[in-house]
Amino acid sequence: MALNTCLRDLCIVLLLLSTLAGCGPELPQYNPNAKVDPNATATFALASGVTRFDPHRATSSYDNTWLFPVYDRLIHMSPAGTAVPGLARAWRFGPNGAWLDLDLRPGVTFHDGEPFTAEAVAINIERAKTVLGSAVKAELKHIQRVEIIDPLHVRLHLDAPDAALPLILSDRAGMMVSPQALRAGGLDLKGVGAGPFRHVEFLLGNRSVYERFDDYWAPEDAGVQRLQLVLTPDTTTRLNAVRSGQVDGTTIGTLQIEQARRYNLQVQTGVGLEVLHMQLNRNRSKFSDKRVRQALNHAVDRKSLVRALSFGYGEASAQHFPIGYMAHDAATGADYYNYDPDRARTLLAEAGLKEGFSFELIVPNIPSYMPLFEVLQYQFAEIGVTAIPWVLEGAQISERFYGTSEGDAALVTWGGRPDPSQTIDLLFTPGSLPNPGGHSTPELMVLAQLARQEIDPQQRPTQLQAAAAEIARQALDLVLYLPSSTFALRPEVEGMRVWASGNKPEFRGVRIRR
Amino acid sequence: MTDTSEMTGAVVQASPSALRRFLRRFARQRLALAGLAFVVLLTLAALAAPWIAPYDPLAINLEIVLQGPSASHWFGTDELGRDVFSRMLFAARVSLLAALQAVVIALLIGVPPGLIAGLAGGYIDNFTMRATDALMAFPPLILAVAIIAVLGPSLTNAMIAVGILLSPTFLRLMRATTMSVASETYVEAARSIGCTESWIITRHVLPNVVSPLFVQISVFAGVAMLAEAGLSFLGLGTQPPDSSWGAMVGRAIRYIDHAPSLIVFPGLAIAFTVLALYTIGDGLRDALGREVRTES
Repeated sequence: MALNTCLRDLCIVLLLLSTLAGCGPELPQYNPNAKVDPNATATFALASGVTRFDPHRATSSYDNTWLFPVYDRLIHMSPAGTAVPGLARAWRFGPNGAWLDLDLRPGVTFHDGEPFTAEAVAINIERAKTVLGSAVKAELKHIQRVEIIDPLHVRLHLDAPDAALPLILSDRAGMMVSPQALRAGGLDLKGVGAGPFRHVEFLLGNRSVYERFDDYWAPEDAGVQRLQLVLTPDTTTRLNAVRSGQVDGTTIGTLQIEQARRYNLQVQTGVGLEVLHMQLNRNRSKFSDKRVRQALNHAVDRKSLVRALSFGYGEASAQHFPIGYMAHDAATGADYYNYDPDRARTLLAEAGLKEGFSFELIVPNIPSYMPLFEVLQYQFAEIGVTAIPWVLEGAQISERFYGTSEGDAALVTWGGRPDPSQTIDLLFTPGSLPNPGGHSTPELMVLAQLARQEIDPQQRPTQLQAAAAEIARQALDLVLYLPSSTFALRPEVEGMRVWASGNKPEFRGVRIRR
Repeated sequence: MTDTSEMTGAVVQASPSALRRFLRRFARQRLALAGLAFVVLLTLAALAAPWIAPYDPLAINLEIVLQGPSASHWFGTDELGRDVFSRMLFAARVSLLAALQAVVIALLIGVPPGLIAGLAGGYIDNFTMRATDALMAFPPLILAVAIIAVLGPSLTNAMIAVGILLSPTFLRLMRATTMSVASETYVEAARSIGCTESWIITRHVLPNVVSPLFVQISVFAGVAMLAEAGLSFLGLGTQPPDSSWGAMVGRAIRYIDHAPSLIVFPGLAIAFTVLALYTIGDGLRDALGREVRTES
């Protein structure tokens, strides 16, 4: 009797489950006859929100994705990471880098109808350098004053040559705000720029809505009538939203690539300028000794790391810049520190640490970092080094590791910067917040300065590569791999690209086929 | 003494006949016996883990990640190429120890005040009960997370939190049973012939209130194991490289698309162990309680 009841209940449950299994959304299909719909709405889900719509005071580089549609920049960055014309059609440095001249695009207006002129540039740069709470002031520190030569020409006078400036102007520092809106205030919640889209609606912590700006100078960049960006922190929810058609595309993790393909979604993935590294405080533990740093570098099996933890997506590299990028030094190569525990043990013995040592490693309390930490702990243990975990959340890491120089090392992702000199200077020269302990080498300081001051675009890669090679040779860091940025898109989306900026994409030229 | 207890139907006494009767009655509960056998076997396996595990539970091999069950790896391998079967044996230690920790902490916090409140009555009883009301009014998960936020994430801290959460039930149980025992005539008799309160508690009250306590302990061991699994799943309990079953489920969920079996084995282990503890609890209740004669 009881057994029969059990069996009956089991059958009912199975029946219900099988009905539920059929309830998932239908798989999206690609329709080859669909035409680009210029009146379409494109919706993208993003993992991080925006701090504010005032580009000079926005503090996170992940704000860029939300700001790019509204604000055009003086100079653009190509998907490959090079400087290309934006609101400035051309630029050139003066003799010895004493100034940077910008030729402005004629006939451009801001969304509020105000014309874009040399005066607007001067007002913006002046404000970016002086406004209380400016997050871009340091990037523009070499600009002494802005000279208006004529309405379409400005000259930025510099106190030292700064070859990084063009790409710095492709970032928030180069975003142009309507001077009228600057005077009126209220930029935190509503942006007024000269970008391909007007800002029409913003719900803090939820969504931002943009509409095509018909007078944009490159109309093909505004491929849809309406662009919506929604904040969805959970990655599974984001992928499901694409699958169900709630949104048209999103960023996903490499673990979800197979799943996204199974859902008939387009997957775009590529390595950008982000760096996953175990950053060392080179003034703590045994890390002031180059041999110890080299030993740790040799102890890590980067290729297995990428294969096992990132399913092969990403670039196993001991350098900070990806292969093919202007600052990647091919002579040193990505495999400068091959996996060689014996060599690591020899180096430790040479450093007088035959018995090994232990150090405190800060690990973010984010699930994806834990397996990574466990592998590192295991591989370090093979050469006699003990990594003691100290699990902290993001804000605490900034405060402890960078602010008060606590913790010997931290497992973190460097978000990348538009210009390689920025990465080199920020991570490896004294007095910079992202370089806890402030350690550097005299050789690197010279090379970093040469790269920063080399205004000849033909010569500059050589200087950048020399600095990158020095960083690798001195093992100033422990780069694990360069992660892939990945987007899952519905079949009807086209024109989306993987940008060098990684998980901070632009939606320029994105179109929808219906 | 023996006469008194038999007269009043009190059950757990040191007398051999009572113990024999309990064992006889418990042995009749087949499900409970199976549950007990399962828990005993599991405990033995957990204790013997270093000798019977086929692999080092911490040995990472990135060449064989996320493999399904096979002859060489019975339960497959996890995201770092570690043997899941070996890890589960070691995780059993953590899970069982966690349940034990939580129950002991709950007993330590709950039993003494429950006894005192039940015996003393009056404003002491009132104060204790209002305190437990306050504790029980908190949403349990939020209270656990808050306690762990203060103490820091670790298995022991998580189990302190669970122990605190379980303690009001023990306290109330103790108070209620103590109250009923305290009004029994043999307690009054003991008091009238001048026995001290501590003598009365240890010799007359405690032995007569432990039987419901045993039932509650076995049920709460299951609850504590589930709570540990939940908290470790959220990353608030066991910290890597150590693992508990709950933590294993929590990790496996990220790879559910690539290796579904990874979530199944620790999930089943939790389910079966909790079920076994509950059936033991049921068996104890039936064996310790007043005998119920069934018509047949």
